[in-house]
Amino acid sequence: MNYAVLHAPEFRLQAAARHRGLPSDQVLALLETMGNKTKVAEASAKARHHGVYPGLSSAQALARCASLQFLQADPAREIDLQDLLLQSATSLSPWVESTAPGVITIALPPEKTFTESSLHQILGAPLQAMELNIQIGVAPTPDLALLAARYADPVHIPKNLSVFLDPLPLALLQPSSDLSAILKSWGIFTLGALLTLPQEDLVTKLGPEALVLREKLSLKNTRPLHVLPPLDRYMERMELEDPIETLEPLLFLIRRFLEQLGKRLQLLWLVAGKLQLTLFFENKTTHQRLFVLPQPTLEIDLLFRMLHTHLENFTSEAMVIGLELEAWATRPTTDQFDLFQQGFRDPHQFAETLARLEALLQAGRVGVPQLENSHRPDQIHMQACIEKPELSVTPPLPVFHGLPLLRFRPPLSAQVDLQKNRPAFLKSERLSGPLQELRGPWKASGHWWDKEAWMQEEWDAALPNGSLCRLARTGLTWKVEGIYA
Amino acid sequence: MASPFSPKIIELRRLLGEQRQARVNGQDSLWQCGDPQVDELQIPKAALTEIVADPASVGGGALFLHRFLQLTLPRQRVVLIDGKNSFDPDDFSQPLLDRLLWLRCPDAALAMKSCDLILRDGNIPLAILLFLLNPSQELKKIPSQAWHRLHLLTEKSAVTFLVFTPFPQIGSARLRVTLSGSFSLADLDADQPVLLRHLRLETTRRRLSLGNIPEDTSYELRSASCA
Repeated sequence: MNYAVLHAPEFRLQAAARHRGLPSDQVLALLETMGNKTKVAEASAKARHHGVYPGLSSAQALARCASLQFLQADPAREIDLQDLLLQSATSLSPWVESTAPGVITIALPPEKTFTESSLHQILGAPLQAMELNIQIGVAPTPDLALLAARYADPVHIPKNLSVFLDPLPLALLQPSSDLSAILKSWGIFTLGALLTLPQEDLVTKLGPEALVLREKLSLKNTRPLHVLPPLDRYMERMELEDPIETLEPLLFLIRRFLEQLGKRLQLLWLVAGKLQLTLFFENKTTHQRLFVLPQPTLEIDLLFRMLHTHLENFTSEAMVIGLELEAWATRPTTDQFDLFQQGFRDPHQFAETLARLEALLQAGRVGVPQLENSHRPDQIHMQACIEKPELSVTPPLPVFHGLPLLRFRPPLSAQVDLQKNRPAFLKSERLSGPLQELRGPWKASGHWWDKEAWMQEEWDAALPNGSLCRLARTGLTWKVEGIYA
Repeated sequence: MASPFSPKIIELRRLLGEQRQARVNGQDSLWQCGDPQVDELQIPKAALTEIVADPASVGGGALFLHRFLQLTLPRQRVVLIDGKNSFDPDDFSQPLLDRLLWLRCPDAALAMKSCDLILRDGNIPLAILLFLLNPSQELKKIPSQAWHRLHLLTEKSAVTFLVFTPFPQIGSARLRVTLSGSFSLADLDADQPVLLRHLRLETTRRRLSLGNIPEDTSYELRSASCA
């Protein structure tokens, strides 16, 4: 079995640059505070070209390169980037390990053969398209694969390992200072030179640490990977330095997020099934909205239009200081309607129409009615959208009785005069007059065991003009619930 | 002996047979739901039909609406644009309601805008607009051009559009059906099939291309009673 290592050099710098939307090939340096001194912790290739190296103070770095941009380390963004690398690595194999920050080890499937160009095409190019600087190395052991990755441009599969290891500096194995000094005094500066030393004598003379170093170069030094469960949620988030007040900059960021998520999902041959947008406001409130896609897709324009339609009709009291866009990944739909199923002509158009209708009529007024398990009249709630394709099975039709009621929502306030404890005269906004005929009372109650306790009495009544209506009494309050129209 | 064909093949044959028969009879442009009383109305597909439920027809409008939904929901999705948020879904089972997209509009103006979006979308082939509880002042404010626009949209998106109104008001409707019948409190106990027999459905206007009649020919019927 071969192992591949996905290595992101200057990982912390790349994480910070990605968060700011800066390509990592610019003149960038990551600052780190040590005690009371601020020093350069990592520098991009272009910055190193200008002589900016880790360990310099910010003033020294600026003196060497005036156009240098400083970034601050952000552990949250580093976790995001590590997740991104981990998810991307699963395009090669399900056995992936988060070995270290910026280092992902992949156990390649033995039945597949990878070349430098195929690895670049599958993993390298898509990650580079996300403006990430990535190196990939392949070797028979995880440690050798990491060494190969460190010297890759951007993919390296050593054909002859001894030739590959021969010129590499000993410092790559990070020996202790004592051991390093002894080896240097023996004239051992490279890995090739270390491999020429007899293993048994090495242990006898230098102790177990030397054995560990030597074994790192051994072809037998494999280990089981700490394989992680697959992550099926993909997230992009940003905390804004300057709060956003208008829609355009927010849409710009959302578009960028969608493009990033799209590239990540495309890499794994996945599509977005749901999207969740969270906005964080200056007044510590948040707005969260889940968008269920009628048909999973990766069309950025479609996804963007859906979010755009929602945000166009959304207003907030405070400015946006952060946003988060999360995608639930799913496989592209492989369902085929059977002969009698009726799907939508254009599910995405339908989703957008629903979003527009919801914006027009307000949430909770558009959807599929859901009956609640209660005897209380008019207990329904709305399911936001139609998720499943229509079933071909015809539901059984119940037997319907009586005239259907059309309800007033909310019920109309009414004044009812009673005679012998029965309604005799009705006065309300829409219906008034003596009640000629009555049916009732129908008494109903429920939830007597909790705070939601309710009790009401219903009457069906006929007015002189022939109108039929339903009256309801709760305590001493009368309402007209609806009419038979 | 058991049939060698699967139920789906048998169903497909039946469906194709029905469609062919409908084409032979020139009925494929009509909305067929399998109920003789409703099918006799010859409701045109991809057109606007006005169902007028006069307040004197106590209970008739909602009764016909429920009947229509009972007939169509088992077959397909329906969108109900409820002009005054008055529809009561309690009579329907949840599997049927799962096929109903319900738009609960607070007034006629928003209902008209919703219709516009739904008809433009065209994903659901049957749309019903319910204006039975809207005040007449609200309905009279709707200009005839708005109805004409919706009528054109139905033709473009091939959506069959039924509008329930308390009085005739849509000049561009291809078909107008007037409901009449009077129900009393005693009828609240009767089965709906019995009640439907007492509901008169009268076609009072038809502008429909049928058989050899050219598309642009319009004429009105005043006495074609279907009940």
